[in-house]
Amino acid sequence: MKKSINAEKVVTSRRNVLRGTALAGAAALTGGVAHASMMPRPVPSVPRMHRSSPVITVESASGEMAEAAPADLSGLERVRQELVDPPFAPEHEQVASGPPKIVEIEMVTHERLMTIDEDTGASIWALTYNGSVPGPLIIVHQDDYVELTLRNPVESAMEHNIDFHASTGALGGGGLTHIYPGEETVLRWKATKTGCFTYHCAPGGAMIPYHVCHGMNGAIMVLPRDGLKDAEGNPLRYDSIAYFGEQDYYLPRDENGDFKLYDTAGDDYTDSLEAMATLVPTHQVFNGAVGALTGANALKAQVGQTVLMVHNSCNVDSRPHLIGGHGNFVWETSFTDPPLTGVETWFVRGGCAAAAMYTFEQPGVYAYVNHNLIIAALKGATAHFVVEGPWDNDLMEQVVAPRPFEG
Amino acid sequence: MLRVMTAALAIGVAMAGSAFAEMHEVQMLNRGEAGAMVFEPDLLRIEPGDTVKFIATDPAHNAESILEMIPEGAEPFKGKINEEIEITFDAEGLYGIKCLPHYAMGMVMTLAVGEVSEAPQNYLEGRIPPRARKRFEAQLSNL
Repeated sequence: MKKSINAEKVVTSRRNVLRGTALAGAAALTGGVAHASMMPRPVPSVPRMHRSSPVITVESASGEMAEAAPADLSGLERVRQELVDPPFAPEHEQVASGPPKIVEIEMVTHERLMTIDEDTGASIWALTYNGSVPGPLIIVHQDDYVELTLRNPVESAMEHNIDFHASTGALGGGGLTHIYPGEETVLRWKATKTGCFTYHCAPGGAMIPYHVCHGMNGAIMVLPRDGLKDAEGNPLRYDSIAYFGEQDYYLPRDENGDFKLYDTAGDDYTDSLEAMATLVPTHQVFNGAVGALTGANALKAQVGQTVLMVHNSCNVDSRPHLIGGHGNFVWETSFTDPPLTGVETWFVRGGCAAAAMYTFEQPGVYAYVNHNLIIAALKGATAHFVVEGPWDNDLMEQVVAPRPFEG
Repeated sequence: MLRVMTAALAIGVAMAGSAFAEMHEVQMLNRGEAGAMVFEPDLLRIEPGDTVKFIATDPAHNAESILEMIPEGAEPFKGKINEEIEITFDAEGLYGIKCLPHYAMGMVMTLAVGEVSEAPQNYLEGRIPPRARKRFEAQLSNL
């Protein structure tokens, strides 16, 4: 399967619009930050760096690494996975063809001003992988090797790295991937565990939640080589993937209660730590911004189609519910365990990603929400599927339309 | 020799060591005259035996010496986040000092102890983030 349920790449373009309007509003409010609106939205292509980098000292377990035998990668095919913006999924096979491969991916740590609520103009200097919140979905099969090239553009303000929960050792790779602006690093790790897993930036200390709460997290899905199965071992296949990243933001406010605006990435550091310490998000949204997946940006599907909903939540617990539908098969953690079936509301542990499969049976709008409905309605964690197809009166029928009654 | 001491001990030792030993103050700031995330002053010349107090004016900073950017024989030091430390510097030469969480943002300073007038040849050859390097170069040009 390729791509996701949404045929049009509307999210990106909408964010362009959001950014433009909200920044204009922000600039008008403050009379400043005009330069901020000139920040490019599209992810700039970052040329390969040719500077001769000094040897990067491995800070953890360097002695053991120096003495370790080289991995035997002979005979392994190398393939490159082109990552795409959420809510889409990269091209991939549901059942792996052939033996394990080395899957090469590239991510660039872009720091960019993002509007997260166009109604209020609330915005944040998001810290991202490849420019999106969440970072791109990566898909491999069990026993594949993930070989990530991670680049930090020279114009960045901050150091970045990556901790893959799916990986083993060196703080999930975090200990081997610290890069300053202008640096790149390559990490290879073997995907031994199946399931959906979060990945995130973890530079150390208070910078860890700071980066995570500025958007620097995403998910990797490690499929069994023979694909997803139900408890009896029957194959389960999907027509498309919808990839949700639940993001908690803690925006500092000024003395009037308005969200503060900052000139550059990192300027909000001290204020952010104070706001984060309240543990009360000002926003908790899907895919970077309030309304990123609703209205004109809703996901689209047809009756009879099966969607795999991959939900990443790096920091906060979430309880997704598909209003008007169900989780036919739900893998809250590993794909190795049999899926839960017929689930009303499932659970995404903070620091985890989960997958839920559903086949649409009725047309109409389905809301995919965090069923803490305060978070869904007031903080932003709502997405919509718009499903087309024939209505089934056997499943539901409006027997009497609303009418006055007497007595 | 370089020591981390309590204030009382620092003053005591400073007094004992030299009648002229001085206490200098460096502020750790989110924003200063030179921009965001700075030590102020970011270039300081002191005499051997003088003490520098790093003041946590703004939160979430620390002061620590940078590996391979201190004089030969000098001891490295590392303050904790939000910790105000007093360091007495005895070894002459240049000290590169950073705030760990804001190193990539260029939060560095140069401390010149004694008569040193230029940096050792390999002083900036290590792994230094670009913004920190730029500020180091500016600091060294004002030695």
